[in-house]
Amino acid sequence: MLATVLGAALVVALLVAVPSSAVVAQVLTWTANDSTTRYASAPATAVAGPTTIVFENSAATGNTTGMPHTLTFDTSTPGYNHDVALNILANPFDANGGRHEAEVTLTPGRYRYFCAIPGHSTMVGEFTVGPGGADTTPPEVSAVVSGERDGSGNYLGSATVTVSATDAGSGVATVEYNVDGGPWTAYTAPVVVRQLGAHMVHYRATDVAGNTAPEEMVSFTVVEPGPDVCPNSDIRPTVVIGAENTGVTNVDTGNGCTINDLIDEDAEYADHAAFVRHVDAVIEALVTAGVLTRRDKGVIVRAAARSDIGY
Amino acid sequence: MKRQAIVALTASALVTVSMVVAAPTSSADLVTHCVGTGGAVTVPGDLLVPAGESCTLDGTTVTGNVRVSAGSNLIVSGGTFQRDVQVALDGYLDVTDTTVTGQIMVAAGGFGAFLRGSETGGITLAPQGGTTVQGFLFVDDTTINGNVTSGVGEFSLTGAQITGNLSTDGAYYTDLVDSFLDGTLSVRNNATGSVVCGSAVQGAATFGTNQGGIQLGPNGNLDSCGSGGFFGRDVTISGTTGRTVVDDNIINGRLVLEANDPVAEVAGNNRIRGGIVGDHDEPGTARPAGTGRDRATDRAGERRAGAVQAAADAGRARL
Repeated sequence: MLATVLGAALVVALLVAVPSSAVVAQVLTWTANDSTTRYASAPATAVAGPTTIVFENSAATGNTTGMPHTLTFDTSTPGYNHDVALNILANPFDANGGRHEAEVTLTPGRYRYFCAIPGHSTMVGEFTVGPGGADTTPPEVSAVVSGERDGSGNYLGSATVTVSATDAGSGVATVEYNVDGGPWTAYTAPVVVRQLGAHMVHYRATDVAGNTAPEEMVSFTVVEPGPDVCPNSDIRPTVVIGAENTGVTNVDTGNGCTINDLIDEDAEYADHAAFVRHVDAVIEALVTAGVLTRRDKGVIVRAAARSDIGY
Repeated sequence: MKRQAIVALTASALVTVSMVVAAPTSSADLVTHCVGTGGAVTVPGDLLVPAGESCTLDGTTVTGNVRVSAGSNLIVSGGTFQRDVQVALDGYLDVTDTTVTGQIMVAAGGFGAFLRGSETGGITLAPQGGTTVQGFLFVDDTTINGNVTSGVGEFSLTGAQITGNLSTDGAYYTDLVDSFLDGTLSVRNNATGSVVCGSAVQGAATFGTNQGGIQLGPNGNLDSCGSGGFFGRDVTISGTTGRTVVDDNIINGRLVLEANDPVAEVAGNNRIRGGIVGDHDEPGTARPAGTGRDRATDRAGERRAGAVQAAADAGRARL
């Protein structure tokens, strides 16, 4: 079955933990471009042990002006490791074409680095080095499907699959997914599936040490978005909370749900404050959308506060 | 640090609470942490609702200060707080049938405070500052022994008795309904105006540079107010953008109207003992300031039509 993966607005919950081992020689790469305020890319974590440092400031990394940069490890600021003296100067026109390598040995802790070129003082950063040791444990990976659902659990119009991976050892290296048996694709953002029908999204993750988690899968069905998200609406003429009639008209908010539906006073709430906060949130959205005035909101939230819902 | 058990607080603990007792502060006061529910016990010293937690109290007495930490909730009924109550960023205070001897202070970005059937000292809502939250103060049938001041949020008092002054600057709105205010009333720079309905204000009342209109008494477009009010001193309304209506009031001083757009509508049923100073019209005949006479537009209708159109434009609400 073909699937359409559309729109990938990016927010990946990739929880990369501090690595704890290095079973393979690691390479850490910094890149720079025309910016004088930040490196184009830099590592955030590493593992202790022999390490190849790569610093590239070339046309390939976006330097179009010949701007020189350095990658200099801080050896004086308190709170950081000072055991690596590294100072690489690179520009696209140097003898190496802007790409330089150095061999160092990292120890557990934090390292701070910066660009020593005058005027580049905000090009700074730090990375964390975890302790060494063998990492034979693959990452933990999971996925959550979200979206509006009908009473049968089908997703209305689209479903969004969010994959999360964590690895307490060497750290997560890659996360991949495929939809309905298609090609494996690097996961960079929640995957939105809009094509109607049943779908399977497979996913897997690999850590820096090369351990790959067993492939897993979530399945779901996307159906036509219904015209009425709240088919059994509370259609009382005014907004009512508990025994209080607020007098505010209980309008359809645009998707078949009335204000009373959104307030959902019969749902379970952890406590009274949770209900008041819930009402404040849904009504604020209606104020923002122009459905209600701010005074309407005050009347409704106040009625929520007066009610005994959540006690 | 030395820690003390809750049993030290009272032997008659009807508490079903997980109250965690923290160490004494540098001033040796006891701080009791409240997470969960608590009953008719006396908490000596301060009470703290930790960040992100909820505390529900019924009949509880706290002899020290009460602090509602960031993102936390304090719901209290039938309580007695013998000193101040401080509400932090995104904190929520819900008070019913309770006495607060000290002040209630809501920090910038506080979620809000709701008081009903209670008595308290002054109330202060800090200006929004750099926070994104504009909180609220809703007061029902509560006596406030002091000043009420707000620099933010939705501000509505019904059935309140305030011994001090009431002042807001930069709030969304300030509404005073069926209330008694012994001091002065100052409403400035409110985004959606102010309503004073069925209330008695003993001191001078000043409304300055508000948006959305001012409604003193019935027949305005902001609130379905049933009756006018009493003002013991001058009432000054200036720089208002939006419909200003003064209807069915007794004003012992002057009614001063300056630079309101449209000009204020003053009904003939007001009794204004000090006279009217400034530009005004009969109700329903207000005209934009500085222009010829035009019939006042139905701003309520405009607002509703605008809201409906905005809702249509917005499409499905993203809730």
